Amino acid sequence: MSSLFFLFIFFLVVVAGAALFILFSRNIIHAAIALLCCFLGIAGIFVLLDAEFVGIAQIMVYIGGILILLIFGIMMTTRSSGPELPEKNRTNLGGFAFAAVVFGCLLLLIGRLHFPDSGSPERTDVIPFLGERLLTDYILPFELAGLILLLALVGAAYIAGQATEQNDTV
Amino acid sequence: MTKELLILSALLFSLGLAIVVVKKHAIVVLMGIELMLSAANINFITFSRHDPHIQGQFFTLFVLIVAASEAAVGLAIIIKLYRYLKTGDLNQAQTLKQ
Repeated sequence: MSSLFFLFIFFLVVVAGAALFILFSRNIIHAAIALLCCFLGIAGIFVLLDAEFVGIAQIMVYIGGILILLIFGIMMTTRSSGPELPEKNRTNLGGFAFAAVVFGCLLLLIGRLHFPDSGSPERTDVIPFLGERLLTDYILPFELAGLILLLALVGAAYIAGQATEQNDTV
Repeated sequence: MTKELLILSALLFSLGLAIVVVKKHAIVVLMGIELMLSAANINFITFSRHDPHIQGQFFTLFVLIVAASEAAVGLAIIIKLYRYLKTGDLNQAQTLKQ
């Protein structure tokens, strides 16, 4: 329990610190690297919580897909001539106060809850169970997810790829 | 351990919200949205530990798919916006038509 718990605390600190760094960083590339650390920490937490498949999927989808897309976007939408890519905050005090109020309310609600911390039913066959259920009980959401991915791909290519025919006008 | 995870999830959600509200560049705002989705995922995984049918893990997989689609379409819109406005600054994106 103890070494596992220390690992858990480590991932917790990494995730929280990386998210804080994104909030206070002025450099978009640094923010993207911090987001990488954050996603890796979240994947580690998933693995520690007996959700290995979701942890690996988190790494593959978020880091291999979304983060690479975001970095491509950064490269395409910022001028690369300057030495760094500075970025200022839009509205300082109001946004921070709003988020702090939301965090306080959530903490207040969580503090009222009580959970039985032990006696969780451990499944030993999580990955076979996931695969079997995805193709039987969850087959309709599974196919719909594939359809959504296809639609998002076509839509994104349609939205972003029009500029060659009609340049600059809308 | 459950309570610590819920606190981490609340913190991550609040930080994502702060990033979405405060930050100026559109891509960083998209990062904040991803952070909020991840916070929801942590909650799902946390509660699916107490569930013999691990429904939270299934829902997390579908959330991952929706997050990927959202990132792709959002980034396409941001690139379109950049082509039109020549900047990624959200303060400049104030007009509905040209």
